[in-house]
Amino acid sequence: MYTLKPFYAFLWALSLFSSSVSAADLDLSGVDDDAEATRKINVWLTDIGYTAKVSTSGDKLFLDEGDKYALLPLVTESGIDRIVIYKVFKGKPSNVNAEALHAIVRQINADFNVCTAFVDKGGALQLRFSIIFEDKLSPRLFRNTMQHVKAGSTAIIKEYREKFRPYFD
Amino acid sequence: MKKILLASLSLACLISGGLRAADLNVADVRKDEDASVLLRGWAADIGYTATISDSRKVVFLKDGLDYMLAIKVSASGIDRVIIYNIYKGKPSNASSRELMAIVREINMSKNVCAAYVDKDGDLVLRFVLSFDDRLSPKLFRNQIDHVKAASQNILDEFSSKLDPYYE
Repeated sequence: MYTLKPFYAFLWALSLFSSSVSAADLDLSGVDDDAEATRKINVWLTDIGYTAKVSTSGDKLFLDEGDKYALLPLVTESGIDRIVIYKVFKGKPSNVNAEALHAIVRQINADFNVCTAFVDKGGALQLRFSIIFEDKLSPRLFRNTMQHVKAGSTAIIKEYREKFRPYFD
Repeated sequence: MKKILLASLSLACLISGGLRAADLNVADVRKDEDASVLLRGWAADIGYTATISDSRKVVFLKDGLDYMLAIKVSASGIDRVIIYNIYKGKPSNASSRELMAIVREINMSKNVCAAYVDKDGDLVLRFVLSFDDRLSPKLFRNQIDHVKAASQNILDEFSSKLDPYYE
């Protein structure tokens, strides 16, 4: 009977361990359609413990983490893909023309290098983050990014809470 | 036969290790300034013209356009390279309501970067690339190309509106 020498046994174990770790990565190799990417991401998010739902249009996902987030996958043929993450704070329609609010948002964009802030056409404040990756995305990078999104959103709201009060519910 | 298989496995591991050596690795780096030094050296190794500021807080990169890069490392979370593309403007831009409306339109319609006018009146386009300790040359190069293309796209689309404010 053949037995593995310790060094080769170590290499073999290492390769097994390595493949089991990468098996949990999101793999969008060969996917160049955003809707297909959305479906794959939905399955992967469930596998790694998130609760997500695909939009009726099929091109975005809603993630429920206590707070709610919208995720928009964008894939390319070059293999460099992005997931754009939005945190939306509902606001009054009149916010669109509120110069003082736009001044606050400008300040956020200049001071916080974590996201893009803007007031949308409905008067909501949107904070936009993104993850860029090369076909494969590890659960660790995704989880850490979501932590970063939560911490960044919280820090911004905390700092501007008083100034935001007249514009948001 | 088994020896050949085992030797092939070992060779595959060596090749894989060799390829990974070209990644930027900040796993053991705790200070942004130290990461900047690594980033400058690594960017030069993979073919960019890169210099570092005296404070070691930012790296300047040349690739057709001039970019300013800041790197932020974190022990437990994610590391980030922040890429700034800056267009010189007039100091009076900082208080122009019309320009602020244009910048808001850019932020609303383009989901690739954050645009803002700094206190000197310059238009800043800020892009963020997050990574988990290791950054591959392919992803970095692709991001720089993406920054270049996206910036050009924004300038082309908004050129008639931005022209009065920028040289």
